[in-house]
Amino acid sequence: MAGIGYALEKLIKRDDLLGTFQGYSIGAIISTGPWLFTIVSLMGINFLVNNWVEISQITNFRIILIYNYSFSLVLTGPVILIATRYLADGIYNKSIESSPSMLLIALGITYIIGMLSILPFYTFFVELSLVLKIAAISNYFLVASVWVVSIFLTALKDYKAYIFIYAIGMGISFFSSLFFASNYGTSGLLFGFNLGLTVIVFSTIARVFSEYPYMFQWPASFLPYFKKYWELSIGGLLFAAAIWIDKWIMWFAPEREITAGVLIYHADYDVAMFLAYLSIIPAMALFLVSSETGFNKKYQEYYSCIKNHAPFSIISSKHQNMVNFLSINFRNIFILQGAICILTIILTPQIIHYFGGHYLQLGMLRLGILGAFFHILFLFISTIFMYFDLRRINFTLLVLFLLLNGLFSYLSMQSGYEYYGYGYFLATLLTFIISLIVLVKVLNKLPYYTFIKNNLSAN
Amino acid sequence: MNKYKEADLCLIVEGAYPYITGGVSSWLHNLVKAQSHLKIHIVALVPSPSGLKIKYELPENVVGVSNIFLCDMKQGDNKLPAIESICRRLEQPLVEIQQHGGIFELSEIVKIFTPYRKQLGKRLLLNSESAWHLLLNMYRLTMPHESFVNYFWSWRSLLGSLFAVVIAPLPKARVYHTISTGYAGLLAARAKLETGRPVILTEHGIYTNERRIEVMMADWFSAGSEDGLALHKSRVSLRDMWIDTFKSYTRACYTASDRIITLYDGNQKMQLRDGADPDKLLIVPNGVDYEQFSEFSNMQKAATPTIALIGRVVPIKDVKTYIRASKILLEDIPDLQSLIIGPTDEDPDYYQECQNVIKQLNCGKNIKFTGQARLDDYLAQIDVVVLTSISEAQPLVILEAGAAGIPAVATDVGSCKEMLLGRKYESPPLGIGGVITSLASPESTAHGIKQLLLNDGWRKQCGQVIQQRVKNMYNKKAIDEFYQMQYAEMSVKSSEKIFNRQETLWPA
Repeated sequence: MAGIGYALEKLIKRDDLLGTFQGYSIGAIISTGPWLFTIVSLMGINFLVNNWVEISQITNFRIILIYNYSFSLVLTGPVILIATRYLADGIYNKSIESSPSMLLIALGITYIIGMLSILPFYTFFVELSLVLKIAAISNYFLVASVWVVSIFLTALKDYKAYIFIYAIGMGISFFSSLFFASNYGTSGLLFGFNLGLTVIVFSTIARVFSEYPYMFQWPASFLPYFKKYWELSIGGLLFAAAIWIDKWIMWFAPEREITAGVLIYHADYDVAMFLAYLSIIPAMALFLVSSETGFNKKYQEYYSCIKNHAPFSIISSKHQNMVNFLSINFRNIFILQGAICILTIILTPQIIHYFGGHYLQLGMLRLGILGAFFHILFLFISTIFMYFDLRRINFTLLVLFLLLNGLFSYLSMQSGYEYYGYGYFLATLLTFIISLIVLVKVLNKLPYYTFIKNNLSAN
Repeated sequence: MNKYKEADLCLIVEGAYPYITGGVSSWLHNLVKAQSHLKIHIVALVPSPSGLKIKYELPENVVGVSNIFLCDMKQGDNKLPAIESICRRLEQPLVEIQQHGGIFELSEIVKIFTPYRKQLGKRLLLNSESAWHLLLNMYRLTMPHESFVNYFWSWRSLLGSLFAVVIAPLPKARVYHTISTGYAGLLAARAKLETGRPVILTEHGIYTNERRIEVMMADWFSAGSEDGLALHKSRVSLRDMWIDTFKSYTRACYTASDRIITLYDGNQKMQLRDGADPDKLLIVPNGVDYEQFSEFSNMQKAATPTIALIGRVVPIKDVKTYIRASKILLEDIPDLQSLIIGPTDEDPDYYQECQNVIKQLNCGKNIKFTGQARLDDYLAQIDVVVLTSISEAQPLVILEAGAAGIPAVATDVGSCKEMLLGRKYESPPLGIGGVITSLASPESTAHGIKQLLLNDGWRKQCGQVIQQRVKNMYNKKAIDEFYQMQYAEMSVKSSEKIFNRQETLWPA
């Protein structure tokens, strides 16, 4: 995202309030935009669609989307991380000729996985009309495509187009699903939503190919990347699974509901968690801006001074600069997001009321907000590990998070309704504390990691 | 290979026999064959295990070959509680080794390592946090302004190989004979420290000198160092560290050796300069099989005057000067036949360049590359052997041709002057056996060849002188006997360790 970084820095360096504000709001939009647009569009649909279709039909629409978003994120996780790495390496080595071809291969792999898993799932197990099955299956493939093409969006320099494509696409989804819902019910809703996704996928591919106008050439090293960076490919899977595992486990709680024969869901828990996730938007914006504007520079200074034969005293001071910057920014994010977290927790009754929930969800939402707070902080730490290419450490922490979230969620599910949400909260809290300890340890010894531990030619 | 408790002789070889062919390797192969009554164990020091292939048919008396991989030591254990104190204690002797160390520092290092030899390896000695702090401390202490990335790799390269030598298993033997200083010399010194058995050193080229040239030629040293600012001129540079480290290795080996042998006078001067004890010094040249080559002296020479450069077609032999000299000679000797006898595939680019020179000078009719060939097939027709090398130790071709009564024209490198004109106090003085010319000078070389080719009487006289000298001084048989005697004498010596205060150094 170097291009975006430069633009953000220019805005912030203008040193007037407007510039700073613009910088940070763009940060928010970029880091959360696609997600935000999707949620806004879906909420809009949910609010207005009551006028045309029955409640049960909306439920099916919502559950199919939840299933498709959750399983596509897990199943494309490996492809996404490996493709990101491939693209980043290509940009670093200034050889991006095979990138557009890699996009096609990545999509191909995604589709093969989908055809082996989701296609038989909807075809043979889910009880839906044929039309709705087709709509659901095509929705899965579109959502999976969106994950993959999004990697390229962030690599592209033109962030305006990035936001624009999403805004237009989700706008189309909103209007067309409402438009078709009146005549065609759930399948109309879903096909309408798919239309917007289709626009996003194909406009992005078009942008990628106009940005990188290269003929198809087999990206020979792409497939070996899956093995070479196995921590990434499996880590991608774990990362997505860890996000969803508490919900999956809650799908076995006594209050769960089942629609279309096999599609299980837990309305109270799922809704509470999705609302809780909304609270982390400010932190994401802050992190993006501070990493793009200040950290990137410090990071590059550190590595380039090593490459340029600096004496150790200089390497050491660049290292200190970087660590100081990180700790100050991390502290800022912690304080700011902590305040927002407390505020939203105070406001949970109003939030629940506004979104039409019931008061039994209060506890879940509060724990969800706290959990999301530590979850996002852990995500930042994980990103920092990725910056320093400490793949093994990151992988271990992801495994830890997955196990903790699975175990604690199971225990809280077993303990009864009033304990729902504790699993996710405790898992994120513990993972955050452990990863922070590891981060501090590693950061302080970074030169040792740079020269020896993480240096292939030294081992 | 048969089982044995203790070898009669352990040969320590760095980067040569039995994996790499060349002058030193064939010398060793001959030595092993000539000492067929001794059980010999060979320790080969090579960079890494990749691509290792034994290039010689090892004689029966070789009872073992073990390898030490200098750039690829064993991984060893991951954890060792003592590693912190090991690294702390290593700092002092290692800093000394990098500046002006010797056998004392080596013995300190050996002492620190000995109890943990099994566990120690790359993981602990190069990649542990303790090793990292050791490196940082040494860097800060010695050259805190030098490019750290260069220091880092230098440290790992120099000391990594040192560690590999110190943790390697040492075969038991009555006598240790190392064929160079450097890491081979370190192992020999270690053998002396640990077993007290005698050590013989034979240096063909002078190791410190060769390393010094390499270090001076390597351009990566200058990257990032701020030596351009004359202010810091007195500061120690990485280059100095490399050279000084090799000097320390050499010093340790010289101290440990009972005999320090080299091929000729010029080398001996350098050994003295590097700190060798004059009492241990000996000159033992390379020898050739006089009987075999002298047979060719009676053969009828061909009618066309023939000269030959015998050697690989590589830049160090300066074949181009030889070609240009041949061209000059063609003015006076139009029917000259000029041969280049030796493999042409070692440096194809250089071979092509030589071909181009021949084409430019338009003398392709008279100059011929034979490729790899047996000397015997050509010896009979050659009138004068020519050597234009820019660097040599003791080129055997001069002796082989000399045994056949063929005089040589050679540049003033290595021991060429000694062989052709005689050593300073030669007794009886035999006289002149060829012509010494200046380096990279076609005119000088052509002039020398002309003197011999155009004056039959002079050429014959030079041929006789060089033949007699080879018979007296460079006879392989006599030299084999010399080494046989040395080994015999040494192997009955009682074990004596290097320091008188060994008790304090070597607690049982």
